[in-house]
Amino acid sequence: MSTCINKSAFTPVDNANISAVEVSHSVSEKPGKSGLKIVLQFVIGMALSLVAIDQAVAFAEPHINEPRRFYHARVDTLAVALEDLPEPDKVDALLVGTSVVERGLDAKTLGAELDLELPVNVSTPGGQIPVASQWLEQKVLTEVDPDLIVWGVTSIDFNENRLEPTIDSSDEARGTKPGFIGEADRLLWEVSSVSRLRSRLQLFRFTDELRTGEPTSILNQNPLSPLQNSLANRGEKNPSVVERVTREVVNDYETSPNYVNIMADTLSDLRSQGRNVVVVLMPVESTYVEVHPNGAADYADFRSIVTERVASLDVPLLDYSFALDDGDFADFTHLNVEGGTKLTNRLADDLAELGF
Amino acid sequence: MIFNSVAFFVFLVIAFSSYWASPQKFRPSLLVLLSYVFYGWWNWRFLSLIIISTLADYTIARVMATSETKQLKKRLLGLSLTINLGILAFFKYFNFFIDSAESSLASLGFDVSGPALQIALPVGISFYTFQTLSYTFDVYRERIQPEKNLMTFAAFVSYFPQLVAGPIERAQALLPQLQRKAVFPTAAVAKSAAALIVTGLFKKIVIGDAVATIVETRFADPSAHGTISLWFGVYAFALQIYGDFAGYSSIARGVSRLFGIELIRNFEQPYLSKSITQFWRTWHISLSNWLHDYLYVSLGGNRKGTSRTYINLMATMVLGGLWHGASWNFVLWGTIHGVLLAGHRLLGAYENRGMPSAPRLRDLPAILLTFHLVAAAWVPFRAQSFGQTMDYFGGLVTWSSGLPAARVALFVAVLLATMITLDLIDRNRTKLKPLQWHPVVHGIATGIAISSVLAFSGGEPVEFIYFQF
Repeated sequence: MSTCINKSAFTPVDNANISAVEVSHSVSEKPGKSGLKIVLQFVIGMALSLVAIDQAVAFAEPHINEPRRFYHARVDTLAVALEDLPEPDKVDALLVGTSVVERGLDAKTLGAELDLELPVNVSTPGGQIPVASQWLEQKVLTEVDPDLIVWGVTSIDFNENRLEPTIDSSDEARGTKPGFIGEADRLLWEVSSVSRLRSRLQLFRFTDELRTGEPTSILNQNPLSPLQNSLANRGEKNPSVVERVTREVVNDYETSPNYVNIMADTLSDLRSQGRNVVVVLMPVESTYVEVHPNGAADYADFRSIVTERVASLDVPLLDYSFALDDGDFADFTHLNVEGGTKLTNRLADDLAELGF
Repeated sequence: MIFNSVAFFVFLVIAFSSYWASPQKFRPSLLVLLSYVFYGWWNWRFLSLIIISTLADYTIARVMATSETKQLKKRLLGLSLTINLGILAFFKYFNFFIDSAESSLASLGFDVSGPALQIALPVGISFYTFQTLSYTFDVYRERIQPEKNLMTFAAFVSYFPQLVAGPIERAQALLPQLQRKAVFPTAAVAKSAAALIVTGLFKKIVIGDAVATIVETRFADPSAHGTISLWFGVYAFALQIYGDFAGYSSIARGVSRLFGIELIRNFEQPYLSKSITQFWRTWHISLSNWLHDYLYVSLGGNRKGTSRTYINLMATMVLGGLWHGASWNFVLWGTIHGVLLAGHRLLGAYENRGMPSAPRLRDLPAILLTFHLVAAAWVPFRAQSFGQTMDYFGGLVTWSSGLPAARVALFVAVLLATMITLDLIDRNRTKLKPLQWHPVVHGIATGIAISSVLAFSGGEPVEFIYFQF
């Protein structure tokens, strides 16, 4: 091999010289210093700063913001509300799912229609299937003991290719990341205050607009309010919202077999605990179906996969996919108050028919 | 495989050990293998595109060197351009051109529906396409002789530290390093490599990723924020894109140094620039040089009169914008920079090439003005649509009350100050000699970087922004 440079060639950049200068600095070590001594001094300096920062964070712990225990302020709020329930035994029905359920089903209306004692809505924002499963099993069902669970789902809950899936945020906040990396991280939590208090420290980077404030400030005098929040007309059918949701949430939609399995396992567990579970396919707006990569075909696939799997577990499924008009939606994915009320009444009728 | 993932560090250990354990004659082939594994980790199918580019340009350059007539050489260059730009056009710009044509025809009253294909964008396609094209150009211009060893040339095209997001290396700089006998890094070289990697990770994770949420909330709905809050969003994105890309480039250089290969500096503290011209000589240097040497000069540069100079400048910047992505937003971004550069030239300003001098206090107004122009110009780069760009610009120039949360403002200010401090040290590196500081100081700095990375990591590793280009 020969070096085949034309001598008159354009010398690429000053960068080569810059790099040479940079390396030459490091090459000219001070004479007389042994390598071991340099390494020791480096390690001492590093250990000193690591310990000092760790101790400073530990010392400041009581003064740092309340930590996030879950991945979103609303979920933290729900957790605190569940813990503060004066009579948790009274909770006899749960509504679970994502914000589509939070803004599409009204616990109080359902309770009045079905004569339930204390139905609550514990839906979590962006709570895809693994998050909803974790949330139910790790938190909700350790606080309350309902007979009836209504689990509302839609296709995005099962999307394999969602950008920044909420299960990652949930695992990050809960320290539940599986596998070797998760184990290593949990080990770090044991020895490092910086790692253990990471979610507190990172509160500095979350804007108030996104995280909607600290859980304790959201909770008002009525501890039930977060669990029975009223339906609201929020959002609008703005093209930029459609574009953003399409890009971030529907992105390259594919129904995840893993998520379907997780849901099936959770349904089986709930049934084995003697609970009544009903799965609801939540209503969808026409644009929402269209933005799937293969449009209606993708949505039809999702419906058939979930319907078949739920049927195989002998769990009732109510399919409201196309039960409402586009006018019943506040935005691209969420119902408005009128739509939510219609759906809740329809659900109450169907649950009554099923014998609840 | 991304630099800020555990998988990469496992790969690096294996790559480093196997590279230095191999005899010299096998090293180019091993580098090709390692680079293909690195790239194939993301999507092995797209390796075929790299192989096509490699084989095509290797063969074309060899034939070109033996061609006797200028006409044949020109045809061969045209063939290389057709193959490389054809691949790039299909994978990156096909749908953009179809959509734009549809919109243009629709505005004339024709309802035409063209084919819409689901085309995945191969990571780093713009980077390696430009790198291999520069090789063919240089052989055509007889600046270099063609590489005879296919494996060495394949390593030049696919060298993994800079494959997916640059720097776009020149054949004159990289090929000789791949040809010569590599020297195992000394302790001093290893130390400088480690410093580059740690600094790069700090810039990426602590500066780049940490402000992402602040940027996202503002761009998602500009109308919900006051003017000052929107300006903080712009500052935050300026930090994000710089931390992300400069962090990547720093890691790439550090990793490459471990293999005995020096990559060029891609950044030279661009936010300390005193003018827009200086900014473009210090930001994404390898692309700026490429555009200057192969596009601006090929168009005639400043050799064909004043008006033609401005046309060439605008064309270069617009195409440079389009290089980043198939969207009118990138065209707008390039156009804004073209106008700013043309304006600066019109004022008769001149900037020396080479490393800029250390800024002085009297330079502060010019630095602040340049930073604000550059930061505002990032809006179309970050926005997802033309409409969102206009909404954001509207919010920046129309007063509306509403301040950012105090902790957001403080956080952005602290990160800006950190970045400026790092840049000032870097700008004064020949005087301050940071690599010769006492080992205890290096240890303390490393401890601070590790603690910061620990505090700001934990989730899934975030991809580098420039991977999408």
